Formats: sequence, structure tokens, C-alpha cells
Amino acid sequence: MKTILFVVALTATVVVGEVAEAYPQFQLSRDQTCTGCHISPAGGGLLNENGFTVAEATSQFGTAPEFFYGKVPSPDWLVLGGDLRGAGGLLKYGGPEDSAIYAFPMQVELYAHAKFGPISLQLTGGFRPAEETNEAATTVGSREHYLMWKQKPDENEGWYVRAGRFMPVFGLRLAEHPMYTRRYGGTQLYSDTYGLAIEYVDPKFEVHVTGFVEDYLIDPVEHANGVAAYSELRLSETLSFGAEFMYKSFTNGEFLLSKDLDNDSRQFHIGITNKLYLQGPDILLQTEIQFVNQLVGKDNRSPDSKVGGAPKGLVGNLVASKMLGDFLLLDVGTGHYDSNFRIANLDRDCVDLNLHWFTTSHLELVLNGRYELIGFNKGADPGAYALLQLHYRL
Amino acid sequence: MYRLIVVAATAGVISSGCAEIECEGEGAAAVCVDDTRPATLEYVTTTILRPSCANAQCHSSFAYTYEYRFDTVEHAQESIVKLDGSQIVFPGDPDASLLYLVLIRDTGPNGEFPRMPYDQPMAGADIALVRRWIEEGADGLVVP
Repeated sequence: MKTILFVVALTATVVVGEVAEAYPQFQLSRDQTCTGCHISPAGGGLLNENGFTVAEATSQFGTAPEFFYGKVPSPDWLVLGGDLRGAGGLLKYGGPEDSAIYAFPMQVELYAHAKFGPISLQLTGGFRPAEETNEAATTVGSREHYLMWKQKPDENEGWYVRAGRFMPVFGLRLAEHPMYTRRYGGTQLYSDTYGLAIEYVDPKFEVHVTGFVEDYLIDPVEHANGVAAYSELRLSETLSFGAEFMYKSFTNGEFLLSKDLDNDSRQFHIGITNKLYLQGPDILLQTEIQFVNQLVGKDNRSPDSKVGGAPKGLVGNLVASKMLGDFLLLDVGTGHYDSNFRIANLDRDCVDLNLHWFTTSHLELVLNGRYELIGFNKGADPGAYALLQLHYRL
Repeated sequence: MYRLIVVAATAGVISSGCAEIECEGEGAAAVCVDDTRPATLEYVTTTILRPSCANAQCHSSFAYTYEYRFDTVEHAQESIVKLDGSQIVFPGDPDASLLYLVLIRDTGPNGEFPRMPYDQPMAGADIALVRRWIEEGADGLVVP
């Protein structure tokens, strides 16, 4: 085995990692909604009072869960936080003998949430993967900045309206960005962009509708305008179903709607989610399945081709999560992605394993592992990775 | 739970039942019979290069690694044929085209020049389409 040691710079967040996200694993099994623990209606990022309590209760050694252990006082209207992440481990790719050892930082971000009655301002800033041709101006950035109106300022439910830069709410929002439903399912890493979201959250039902546009202030990951919608109905305290839809028009430089829609590249995602909490064994099952229709411009469609200009694909994840004792969380999942199910052996299938160890209310160690097959070994050599991730929440 | 199983089974049947074009082998050895997918710059960019290469850490505008980006057709054109005259696709000659060679090469003895995409393998059928696109003259690519 040819092994290389790379210490990759901040820009090389390659495999695992993402900015801190919610743990959907806690939904239903611990709280009914993301807002049960997080300030944002999308989940992720800053914790609220109940989130602090959960962080402390699910860690091995406890410790004060507040920002800097509560030693940095802040006024009632201001909530501060941050996340630091790094990882290292083995990545196997390409040919049968191609593998490498990687270590890389993943996230250095600070959060501030200022609340003035029903209106609040969310700012997230920190290091980001720099644009290679413009490092000086792009080493740091603000992934999120938005204004939020909340119908019930002191409760975790009701109507929300957000305007600014954020990730549209879509699907399960699993924390690990390599999960197929993240990478291929419309919300890949750093595809936060400007938008307007109207959202409603309560213990029985939630809905999020977001219109978004390409970010013209920075060079974005995706050049797309569109709309995303996600709703989730909790039939009981242990069972929920969700529906999702996303439309993206890849702009090729045009602002909002192109003058030549027929020649635009467009993408539709439509799917369902399910969460089922099995109380006896204390296992949460989460499923997301999306149908993806990728359209290319009419000049690139082959009228005589059965597989011409509209590849139809499927992407899905099934994840089972279980708390092992009070401070270990195990996720075992499978993923399936087929970019064009009329072509054999394009499909990829994986088994994912994540083991989270919540040591203190601020420090988490995560073992991330994946084994991936392409066309069940008929399409390419398998890929795999095993990484140890260190996450410190300020 | 029963519904989930039905949905998953249905999806599986759809996915497998619709396979009409068989591709065997991987990398340079991949052979696809009757693959009538359009071999054009737009199709290759939109359905292969963008989802496989243009992610946040690599060849999107966001990172622009090694000054290649494949997130739009225009950016793919600019990256494949640079203003300084260099190019990574030579129409008609895939074996001289770096864009194709990086997908099939063996990683160097010290780990240099890894096969792309190095975070996860590309399916042989897609590599074969990239090769066919170049072999057939790289339709859609403007070469001076």
C-alpha cells in the first residue's frame, strides 16, 4: 500500500466535516423539533437553554455548557458561540493501491445572535476554504448572516421569516456532508446562499419554504436560483413523515430568470423523509429518498436517445442511530446514489458508520467511516475512509 | 415501516429495471454498448464534471483549486482551454488530454498526482463518456 502523509491546509477540507449542524438523531428520540435545542428554525449552530441542558446531560463529564463555560458574560439579548473542528485518518480512492493519510482542519467559526423582541440578527463568520486565485480576500468569510422575525420571541415554535444568507431547509439535514442526500441531494457543503424563507414549526408539524438566488458577492459553489420546500408531519411522538421539493436553475451568469429557459440547465428534486423512533431498543431510524431530474439545454438533448438530456436519478440514505449509554451515539447507515438509472453501473452504494463520544458538554470525538461500491464493483474500484474527528464547541 | 419498505423496494425496482445501457469495466477499460448520451461539453459538464468535481473544496468557483472550475459550462470552457493557450483537452486525442488522463492514471509512487476525483471513485461509464466526447471532437468546446 502506498501511503502518503499530507497535512493539508485549511482549504483542503476534503472528506468529512462541515460546519456544525444539528443532530437530527436527537429529534423524536429526545426532542420533537430542531428548535427544541437550537435557536435557528433550521437547526444547527447556536444552542438555546434546552440545548445546553441536553449537551450537558449527554456528555460523560458534564461541565458548564454555556459559551466559554459561562465565564464570558453577555447581555440577555446576545448569544455567542463557535465551533472548532479538525479530522485525520485514512482515505482510499481510485485504484486498489491508492490510499492516503490525511489530517486537516475543518471548521473555525464564531456565531453571534442578537435578539430585539421578535427581530433578531444572526452572524456566522470564520475561516473557509480559500479561493485559490484570491486567497487574501477569501480566507475568511461569513457563511450565514440573516435577519429573522419570530412570531413568538420567547417560545420555540410558531412562524419564522428569515432573509439573508443561509442554507435552505431541505430534507433530513444530516450533519455529515458526504452523506449522499447532502452531497447529491441539493444541499452540498458551503452551498449556503441568499434567500427568503417562510417557516412554521410546532411539535406536530413544520414547513419551510425558501426562495434563493445565486450569491453574486462571492464566487459560490453553485450558480443557481430556485426554491426549496420541506414539510414534516409528526403523526405521533415516535413517527414522522416529510415531503421535499427543490427546483434549481443553473444560471450560467444570468441573474434570476434566464431569457432562454429552454437552454438552461435545471434540476428538480422531489422526495420523502421518514423518522421512526423505536422506544424499546431506543433506536431512531431516519430515511430520505429523492428523485432527481437533471435537465440540460435543448441543444444538448438527443431526440433519438433514451437517455438524452434528462438524466433521472435517485439518491437516498437510511440511518439507524442509538445512544450507547449516556454519552456515546452510534449511527449505522446506508446510502444509494444513481445519477442516471438508465445507465448500468453508475450507481454507488455505501455503508456509513459514525461513533460520537460526547466527552464534555463542549468536546466531542467522532469516528467516521465509509465503505463505498460503484455499481457493486462493476463500475469502479471501491472507495473508503476512516477518520477521527475532533469537535470543540466554544 | 411497511410503507418505507414498499417505497424502498419500488425505488429499487425502478432503479434496476430501467437500466438499458450496459457498461462493464472501469477507467480506461470501461466499455459501454449503445451509450447514446450526448457527448457534448454541456452534457459532460452538467452531468459528470459538476457533480463529481465542482464541490466546495475542489473545482468549484468557491475554491478554484489549481485554477480549474467545472461548475458551469462557461467555466469549464475557460478551464479546459486557458487564455494563455494551454489546454487540457485535445479534440480527437483523449490519450493526450489531461482531463481524461487524470481520471484513469495510477497515483505516483509517492502519492503525487492522485487519480481524480480523489475523494471518491468515478464510475467507469462516465469516464468512458468523457473519452468518447474527446474522441468525437469535443463537441461544444471552442479551441483556437
